[in-house]
Amino acid sequence: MHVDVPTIYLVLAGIAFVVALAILAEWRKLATGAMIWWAAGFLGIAAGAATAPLRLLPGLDWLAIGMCNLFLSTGFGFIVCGIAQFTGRKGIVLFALPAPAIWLAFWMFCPEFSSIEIRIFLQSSVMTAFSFVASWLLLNGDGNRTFFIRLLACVFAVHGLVHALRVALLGVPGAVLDDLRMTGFAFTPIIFEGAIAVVVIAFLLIAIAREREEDALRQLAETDFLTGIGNRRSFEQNASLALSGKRSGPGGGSIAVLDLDHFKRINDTFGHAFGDDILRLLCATVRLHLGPQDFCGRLGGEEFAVCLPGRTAEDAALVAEAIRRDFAERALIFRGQPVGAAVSVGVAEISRAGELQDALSTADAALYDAKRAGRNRVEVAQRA
Amino acid sequence: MQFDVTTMLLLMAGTCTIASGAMLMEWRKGGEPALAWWSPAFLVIGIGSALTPLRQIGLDVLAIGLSNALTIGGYGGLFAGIASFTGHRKLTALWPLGCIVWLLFWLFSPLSDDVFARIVVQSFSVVVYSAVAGVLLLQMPRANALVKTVGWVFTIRAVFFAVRIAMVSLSGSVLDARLMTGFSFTSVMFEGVLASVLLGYLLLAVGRDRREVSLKRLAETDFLTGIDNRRAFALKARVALALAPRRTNPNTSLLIIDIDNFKRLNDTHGHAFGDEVLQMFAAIVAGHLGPADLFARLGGEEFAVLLPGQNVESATRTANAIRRSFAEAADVIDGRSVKSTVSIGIASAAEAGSLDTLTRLADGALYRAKSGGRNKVIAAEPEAEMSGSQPCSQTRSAAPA
Repeated sequence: MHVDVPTIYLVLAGIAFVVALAILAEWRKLATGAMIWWAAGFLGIAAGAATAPLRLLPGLDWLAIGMCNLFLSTGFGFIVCGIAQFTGRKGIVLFALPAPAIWLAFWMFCPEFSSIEIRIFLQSSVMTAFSFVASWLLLNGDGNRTFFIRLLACVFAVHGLVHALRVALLGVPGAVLDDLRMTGFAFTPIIFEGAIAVVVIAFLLIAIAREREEDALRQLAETDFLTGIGNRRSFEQNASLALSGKRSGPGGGSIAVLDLDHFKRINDTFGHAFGDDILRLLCATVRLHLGPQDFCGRLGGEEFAVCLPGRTAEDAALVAEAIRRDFAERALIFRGQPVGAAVSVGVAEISRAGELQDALSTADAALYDAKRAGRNRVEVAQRA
Repeated sequence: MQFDVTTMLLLMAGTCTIASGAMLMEWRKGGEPALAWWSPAFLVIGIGSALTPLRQIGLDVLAIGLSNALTIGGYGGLFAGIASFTGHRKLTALWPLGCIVWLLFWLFSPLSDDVFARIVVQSFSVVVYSAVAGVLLLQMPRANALVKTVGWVFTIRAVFFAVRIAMVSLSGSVLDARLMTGFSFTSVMFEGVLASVLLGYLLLAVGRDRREVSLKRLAETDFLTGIDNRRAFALKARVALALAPRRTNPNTSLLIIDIDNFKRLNDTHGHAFGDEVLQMFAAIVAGHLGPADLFARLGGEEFAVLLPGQNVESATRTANAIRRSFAEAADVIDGRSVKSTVSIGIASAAEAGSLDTLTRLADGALYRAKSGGRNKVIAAEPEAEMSGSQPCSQTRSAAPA
């Protein structure tokens, strides 16, 4: 049972072409500039892989060796360049050019060009270097280092190591048996790995681009667009999770519900745009007083909620009181206008097994008490 | 220069395993149950491919019997995933059928020693599974371009394997059954490797698409009432206004609706009751709208309706119908005397107007409806609204800040 390298190259040409089409299809949806680089890169690899087996025909070495390697290094350079763009680098063309430039200089000017060992040495060294560069770019780029990004960095690192090994073992007998048919262990396992790597890398590139798009969409779905904090849905989800103790900590805690006093009047007097700014001011004030575990959300209109995991109602009332006082001070005169806005707060404690909806309505009832007792105050619900 | 089938089979084992792993990860992210079929199916096809070259060392039980059983079983799995994806849950039970037919043939038919008969049986199972999968996908209601593409890939596979059956007896189709030379092997394997990558990618994309659509819905929907939110409205209304000159009736009207004294209602009856009123209002308005009309909650107790193709008169009629229906329905709710009403401001554009201008005009009209005693519909008069006779400048847009 043997594995035939020209066959791998031809199949690889087909695979790289299909993958380039797939990335183009994704680009139409995602419109990430990096995807154009990647699609062009895989097309280059397809062209290189398709020309490689032509060395079996006489007189085609300029195509099967010279152009073939130029295609392959350009393609690979483009892929690295796309990664540089994806990870937010400047001067991305610098990542695309060296590999083909080195090959071209070698082809044109170096008398050692006819030696297969020297060619392998050169190309695999360049491949190793740029695989590690790609890996480094991914691990030190903008944005989250997600699972897929780390996996892709890993794949590039392994690919780099494989080519480093190829260079190291070049002198061992059996590395190159027949450079026309490309037999010997410097060809068979390496080119096979290359074909598999192309598929893995393509899947992962698509995955990381999609993932980024999806995160942006999720962000939109979970954020209140006026204030930038979580909306009601994401607040309720996060609060149930945090208070159940499933994510971290012992579970339980407190909920505070805040309502801007006389918001309608502020809107009517100073205009809606001004009212929106007051809402933002309240948000900013609330955030100043929250600990690392706490978070807030906009329930709707002028109503907000704060989740304080692991805190007793007394504790939470202190935080709420600080927010109330701070906000009353900041909103007394806002943008030169005597606004005198204030906030009423209802606080309720919730046990680990408690229902979030119950806690919210208990806090709501306390808020109602605060409103009835004259507004601009904090009320704590009596434990049921 | 010729293709070596063993090499392609090993490559195929690799690409299928990768596709399987990618689908497993995608499935774990939640969402598409069809991925739970596709991931093991690709793995099984990969194992089947890896076993096939063993026929060169005489292990026919593994290399022919088991290998084909696995490959055909894998195609069954791909088909079952498509059946589940297109909503034909019952058809998923058919996945082992091809595999069983193959095993019966392999174990009991005297023809199983004949490589031509084996090619026919194996190809036939691929034709049937691929053709049905193709039909299911292409017949799927509201199929997008991606789903259609997958449908065509399956259809082309079916045709390809049908041609393989038709050409099996031509000379050169099988040169050496053990080394798997001849175009009947090489062409199929080449197609197989490319199809495994292509289908791997496409099925992944299809699975992700579904999740993205539901995420997008979440991002554009108001949590409480289930109608569009302000962001979605701004996007869709801009499109509708831009397209206005192309309609037979280029008029467009915008209603801004505010529930009167909603704060009092909330304070008297509680927030939960207020939420119920908002939901009821949304349901009533929806009953008055046509398919091209847009309806969204801008925030709090404020809603917007865009009526493409309606001028001021017709929009005023619609608005009054909404106002009356709501006043009637909200007179008494759950046995409580609520007497809730709405005020509506209308602005119209004879041609493509800007959404910001329309919003400003309608807001001004709404303000006059409120100060004029509420429970009213008022249409904007551009001159009056622009002259700045209002106490406050309600410069505000329906677009996200």
